[in-house]
Amino acid sequence: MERSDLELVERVLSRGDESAFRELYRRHSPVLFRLAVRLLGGSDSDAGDVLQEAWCRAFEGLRRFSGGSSLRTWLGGVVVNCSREHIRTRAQSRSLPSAGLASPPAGPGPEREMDVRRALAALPEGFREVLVLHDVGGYTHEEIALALDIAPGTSKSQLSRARRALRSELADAPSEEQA
Amino acid sequence: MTEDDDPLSPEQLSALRGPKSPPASLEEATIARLRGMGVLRKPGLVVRPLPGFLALCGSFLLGLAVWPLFPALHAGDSRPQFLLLLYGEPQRRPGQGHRDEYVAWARRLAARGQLGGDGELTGEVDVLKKTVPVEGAEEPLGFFVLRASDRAEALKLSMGCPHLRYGGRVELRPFVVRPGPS
Repeated sequence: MERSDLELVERVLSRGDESAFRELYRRHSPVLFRLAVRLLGGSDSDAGDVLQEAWCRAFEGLRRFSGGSSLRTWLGGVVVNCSREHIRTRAQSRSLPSAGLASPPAGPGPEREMDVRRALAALPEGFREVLVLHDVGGYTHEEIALALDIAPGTSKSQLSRARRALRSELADAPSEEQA
Repeated sequence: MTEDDDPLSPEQLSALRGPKSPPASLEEATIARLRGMGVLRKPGLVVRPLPGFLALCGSFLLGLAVWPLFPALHAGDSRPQFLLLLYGEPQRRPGQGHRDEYVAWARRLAARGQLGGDGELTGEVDVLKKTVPVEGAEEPLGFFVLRASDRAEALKLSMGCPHLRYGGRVELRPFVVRPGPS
């Protein structure tokens, strides 16, 4: 029987149970990693750093986790915060679009991947965060509101505007025209 | 307005989500770091909580490095002692030899007779109130025992602790050791 997040957290905090942590890690990391990749502009290496930092910070703060929101929502908020810090640090030496485009995309459809990165990089930070949490992470507006400390209505309006902007960016991309 | 009344096309969504998954090595690296923070314990290690007190497993790694430099147990040294407690995981990039800096700092203090000892706190911490665990207390990662003529000198020594450069927090507390009843 699958153990709940809270049960696993309790085992990690009270016993340092590594197997419980592995279960949590494997349950949540795929989505958290995808969030980080898109928030950061596509660099897998940076996303790995952010994911590791997020887990460590999460467990520094988990003793204060009240269970008021789901662990998934809470972890999403930690990834967003770590990504913001990472972007700010990186911005001191280079810009977001060039940072995300610097590492060559792997796998099929590299041109399309580059289009997506460019389109995301062109979005304002708040729009990008809402869009990524909703459309990449599958978070609801209520969960996004909790994770980002904004109103659900703000999340809805930002998602709508972010999608419009993303469509426009993708439509302007050369590979979109060729498709 | 519904939750999803203006969705991206399936093709756009697929491109946005991508097939990405974290590298396999990241799980082990994260676990190793959490072990270093004292959050995780190697499988099979059983901890028996000690009621009413901290269950501390001492790992005197720094001590091994600086112990040979200690004056002979500071016999006859009447200067006040201060406990320098280290809080917060040091923020560092992989590969940085931050521990070397701690050791070098401790060696300098020891050479000047300003270090009474040091240690790294590892393992489980149980803070109990009657039988109910108390949560939320921040736990120190390690400590140094400083010897200084007064609090001002101890503060000055503390300011040089590498832990502050790595974003950690330190706490300085004077203490005295009283001999137990014979």
